[in-house]
Amino acid sequence: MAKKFIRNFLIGSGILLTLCILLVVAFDPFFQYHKPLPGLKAVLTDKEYQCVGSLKNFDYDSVIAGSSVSENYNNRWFDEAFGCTSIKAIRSYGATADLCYLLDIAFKDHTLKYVFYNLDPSALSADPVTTFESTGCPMYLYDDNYLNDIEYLLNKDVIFEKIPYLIAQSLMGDYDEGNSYNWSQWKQFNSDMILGLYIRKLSIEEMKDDTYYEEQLSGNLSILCAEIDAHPETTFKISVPPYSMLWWDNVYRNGDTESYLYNLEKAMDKLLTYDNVELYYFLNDREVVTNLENYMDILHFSPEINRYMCDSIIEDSHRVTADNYKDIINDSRNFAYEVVNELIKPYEDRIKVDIYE
Amino acid sequence: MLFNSYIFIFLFLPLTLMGWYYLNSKKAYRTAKYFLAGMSLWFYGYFNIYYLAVIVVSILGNYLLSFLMKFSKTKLSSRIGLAAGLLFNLGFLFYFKYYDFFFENINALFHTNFTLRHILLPLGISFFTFQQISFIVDRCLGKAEHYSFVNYITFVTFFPQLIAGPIVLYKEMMPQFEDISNRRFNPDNFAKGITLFTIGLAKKVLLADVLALSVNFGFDQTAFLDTPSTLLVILAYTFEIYFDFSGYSDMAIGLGKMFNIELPVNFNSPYKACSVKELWQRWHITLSRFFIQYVYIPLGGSRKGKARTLLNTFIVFFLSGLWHGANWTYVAWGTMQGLLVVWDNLGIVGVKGSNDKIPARLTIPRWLGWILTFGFFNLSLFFFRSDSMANAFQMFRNIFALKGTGYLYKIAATLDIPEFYLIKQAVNMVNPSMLNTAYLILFILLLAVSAFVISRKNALQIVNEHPLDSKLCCAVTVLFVWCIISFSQVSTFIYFNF
Repeated sequence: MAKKFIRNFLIGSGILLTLCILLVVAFDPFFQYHKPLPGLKAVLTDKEYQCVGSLKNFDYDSVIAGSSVSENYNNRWFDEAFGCTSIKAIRSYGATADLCYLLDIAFKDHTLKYVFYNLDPSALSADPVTTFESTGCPMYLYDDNYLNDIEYLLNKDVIFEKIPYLIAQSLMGDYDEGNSYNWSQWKQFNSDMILGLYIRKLSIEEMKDDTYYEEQLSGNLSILCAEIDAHPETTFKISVPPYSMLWWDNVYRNGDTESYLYNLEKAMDKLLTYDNVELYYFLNDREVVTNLENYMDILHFSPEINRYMCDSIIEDSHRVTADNYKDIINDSRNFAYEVVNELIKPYEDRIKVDIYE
Repeated sequence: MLFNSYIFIFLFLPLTLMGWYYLNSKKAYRTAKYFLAGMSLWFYGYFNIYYLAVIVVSILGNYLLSFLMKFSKTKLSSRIGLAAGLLFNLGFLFYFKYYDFFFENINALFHTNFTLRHILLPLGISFFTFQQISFIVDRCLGKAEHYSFVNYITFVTFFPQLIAGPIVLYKEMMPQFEDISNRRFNPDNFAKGITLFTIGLAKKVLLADVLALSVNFGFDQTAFLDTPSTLLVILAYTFEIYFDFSGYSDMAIGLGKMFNIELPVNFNSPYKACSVKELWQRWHITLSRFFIQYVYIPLGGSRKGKARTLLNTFIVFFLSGLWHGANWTYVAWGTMQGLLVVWDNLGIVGVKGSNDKIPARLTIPRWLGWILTFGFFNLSLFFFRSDSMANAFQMFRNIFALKGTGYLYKIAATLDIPEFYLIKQAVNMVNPSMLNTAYLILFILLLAVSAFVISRKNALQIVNEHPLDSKLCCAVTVLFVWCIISFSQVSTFIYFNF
């Protein structure tokens, strides 16, 4: 009886576990093994879990790479304007090493016409190393080790939640594949939101030296430039997004204004030496940046601003060139100090201060 | 390595079992033991190689002392050996577990400035240290022989009990490792082992870990909890800690059975107890056994009068509290248990039908005894689970504040488990405002299932009394697979942090 028990247990468990694995491989909601099954949509909502798989297995010829501010682009805006088929490569924090890691995956099996690259100023001063592991990303989806895929294949979240969600969104929902990773649906963008979420530092730190982040800047630029160098056939349309003017205030209070401007200037100086790079700059776009109704917090703007950025890139406005980049940096400097000395004043009574500082 | 991990179940365990039975089938008994010890050290050092150095030093130190005791001819040398053994093991434990706690309090009390070391606590150090203390004490007292190194290392490192017990004694383990008849594959034991392991795994993965979602959230938010949420959070924790710890013990005993090694029973339906004294005869039995043999009896046990007996009992529980962790919360918890067991031993109030030698002056019905015992244990766990005394007292205040703010809905909403996903979506489609109520029903259902499980036969009773038929096999298989697919989760990442 005991032998029969053991045999039946092993066979039964084996069958059930194999069925689970087959189910996950067939539907593959993280797209690790294949494109969506016929009739199902590419439902992309979990970037940490789906970016790598979709970059490996989807058909595309352009990539929209960036941080969370890039998530609200609709791929179709780029596709229609530039005659391409784009996919998003998104990474929170927008660390250069992370985005280039994702680009490497894309370049491995694809020839890209365009990379629409969002360059966050904070990414230039961050450590030039990948952050996937340190931030708890599911590394079993990022490496080439098939053995640790077991965490994906035998995973009840995938079986009970992600697969039904994929099916429901494909067959019953109105999921728009162009809006992959879009988070704007239930969010509000207005001055109450941004002013409510901004906790202003009480003190103002001493302004750091221009070259304070030189080491990080150099590391990040060399990673990004290596990517550009390696792919002369690809046009890199790099844009610096329009953070709100409260971001400038925050940067000033952290003593980072000059070092950030230095980073941006050096980055422009370097990137503009490449024939396959086009640079766009929105950080000094007063109309957008000073209108707090556009924002949810000091960084995140509404999808309308994404549309505006995309249109600007299409129309080639906000373009940075070797001739105007120094003027742009000077203008940004003037604007940054105008924000802290003048533009923020009317809002000061609505801004919370950090009492725990 | 955790029992509830893919690497353990799909790689480590099959490899170890196959290697063990293969080597024994070739009559390479000694090599088989080295193999088992080697695999156990891999199991232990899997998370942190530094742990390996700690356990190896502990084993070598104790083994050397045991060897030196071969040359002990006088009572004095035995006593020196005993003192050295205790000093080595307790010093070891003190350094890794209590150093910071001790000097933190010294600094606070005497305004000194001793530097804290923030030492990483090696896994299971309290278990393997106590296990070796029991051996070295008996060795120095001449009750235990000196074993070969392979026997000793196999006894200490045997992986099923290495990290969280049961705390085994050399005299119950050594003969089993020596018995050649235990080296042959025994289908009956193996099937029972699978069943016990799976029941333990299910208690841990499907109940304890799910209850922990609400409990962890509740204990992180003590200042915001209202009366109902505090009561249900502590009830959930009472179930969680039992399922977690007894689940681990069931898994350990089940794994032991797969190797034909009988590990001692550690939990015997403690929540069915009708007095605190009885609860402690059913809860973490091997720890109580250790304290009785190596603390209570040496202190005089019950041989030195009533008052001394009660004091000895109290000391045991005080130390038991401290053994559980280096924090005043554990001391408070142990003290509470000690006081209640002392109270039970006074024989003033007892439950009907108890088998106390001297009947209590006042007897209460068993159901009342159960309510009082279970209620008390729940309350005492405020100390056990809180990370500070202030938090524990806050939880007590929450109960007596007698207010309801609806926070229970927030506690319940932490149970965002995938098994509930389709129901959640259905409620969302039909009537989104009912979602909070749906979560609350799920929470109460989970507590009801927990109560049902503890009121039925425990894992050992099921294994010993239920035939190994296809019904049991079917249930075990489904539970096993359900547990396996529960090991890995898809986490939600916060979107807006750059």
